[in-house]
Amino acid sequence: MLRYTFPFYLLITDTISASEEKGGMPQLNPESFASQVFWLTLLFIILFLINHYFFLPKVKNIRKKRDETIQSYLDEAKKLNDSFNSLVEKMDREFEEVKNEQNALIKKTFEENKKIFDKKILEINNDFEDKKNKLNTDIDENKKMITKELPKLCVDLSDKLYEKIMGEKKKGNVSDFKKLIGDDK
Amino acid sequence: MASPLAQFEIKKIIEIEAFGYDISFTNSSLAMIMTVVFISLFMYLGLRNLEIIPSKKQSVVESSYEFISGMIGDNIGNEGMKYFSFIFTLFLFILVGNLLGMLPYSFTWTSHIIVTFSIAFFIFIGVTLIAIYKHGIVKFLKFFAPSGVPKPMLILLVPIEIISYLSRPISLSVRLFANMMAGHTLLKVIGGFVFVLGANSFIVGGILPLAFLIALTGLEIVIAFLQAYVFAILTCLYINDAIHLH
Repeated sequence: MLRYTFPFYLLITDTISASEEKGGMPQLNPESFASQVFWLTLLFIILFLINHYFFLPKVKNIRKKRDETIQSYLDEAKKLNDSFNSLVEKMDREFEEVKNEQNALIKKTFEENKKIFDKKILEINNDFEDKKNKLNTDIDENKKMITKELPKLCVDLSDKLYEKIMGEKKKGNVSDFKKLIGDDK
Repeated sequence: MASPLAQFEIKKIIEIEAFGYDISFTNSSLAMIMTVVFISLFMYLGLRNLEIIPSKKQSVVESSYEFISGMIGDNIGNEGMKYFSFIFTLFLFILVGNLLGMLPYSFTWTSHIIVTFSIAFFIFIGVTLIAIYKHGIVKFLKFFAPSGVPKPMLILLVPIEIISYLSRPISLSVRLFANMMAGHTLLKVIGGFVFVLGANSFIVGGILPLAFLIALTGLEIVIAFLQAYVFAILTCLYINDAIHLH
């Protein structure tokens, strides 16, 4: 085991001897102060100059470029949006016009058809009235004719019935029949 | 048991001296260079092929950009965007410094008070100069005397305000340094337990501290992020105070 840990012991003893040489905190040893301050100042200034004049402007530029690109995309998108909106507005307007035209057309067609319909209805009504009047006239004429012919027909019928029942012919007349039914005036 | 503070030792790699100062290239400098290289690589790879619709790598870089931008926007407002590069660099520098310090055998340069204090002091000076430049010295001094306070109270309040203002760099630097140092020290101590207990009990005894060590490592990674965030957000708040003076 000692064989494996031996190098570490060496390391530890080496550091012990190193610290014992000076004693106390090495941070408080003023011998190294000048060197540390000099290298710190030199290297910090170098790093500052490299950053200030070389690296950071690059980062600044790329960020600026990115912002500009994003802004240009946003502007383009806004333009597209505006043109889209104007197109939609135009479409809406045209649609409204077409709708109005269509409504006007429907209204006009409806009115024209209504006129035709009313005219037709009037014609049909007139025709119907004519036919009704004619029919009434016919009925009246027929009624008159039947009223005129009815006594004679009744006399003929009663003659035939008498002949059939009684077996002898008898000739009646219309005036007798009228007297019989009380219509002799 | 090894000293848990040994990991913070500064070791010279290349000795350099200029104007009488020792500015040697050390393990701390190497860790800082690694931090700079790592951040540069992260940024370079993320921004290599820039696209409007970002790739995954680009998204990560842009997310960090957005994160800091949001932080500044929320805490300072649009006026704070002038300081974006500084706060962005500061946040990434500390964050990557903290995170690279979590790698075994690496060095956590944020665990050194002189480093954190230097950054905090620079911020303190910068913030004070911004406030004076923006509002003038008189208005800036009025910042230490809150309006609507009875005059006798000012005798007590003004020194408190001045002390609290002056302690900003100390609190800012000590917070980061102490957190990093304490975390790494604790990891080292627990790590020592794993070896010592494991070696003396045929590995079995090392299992519990190892589990604890793994959990602590997770916690330390969270702290690494949190401390970088706290450092950056406090910097934002100080800048906000300097700009708006309230």
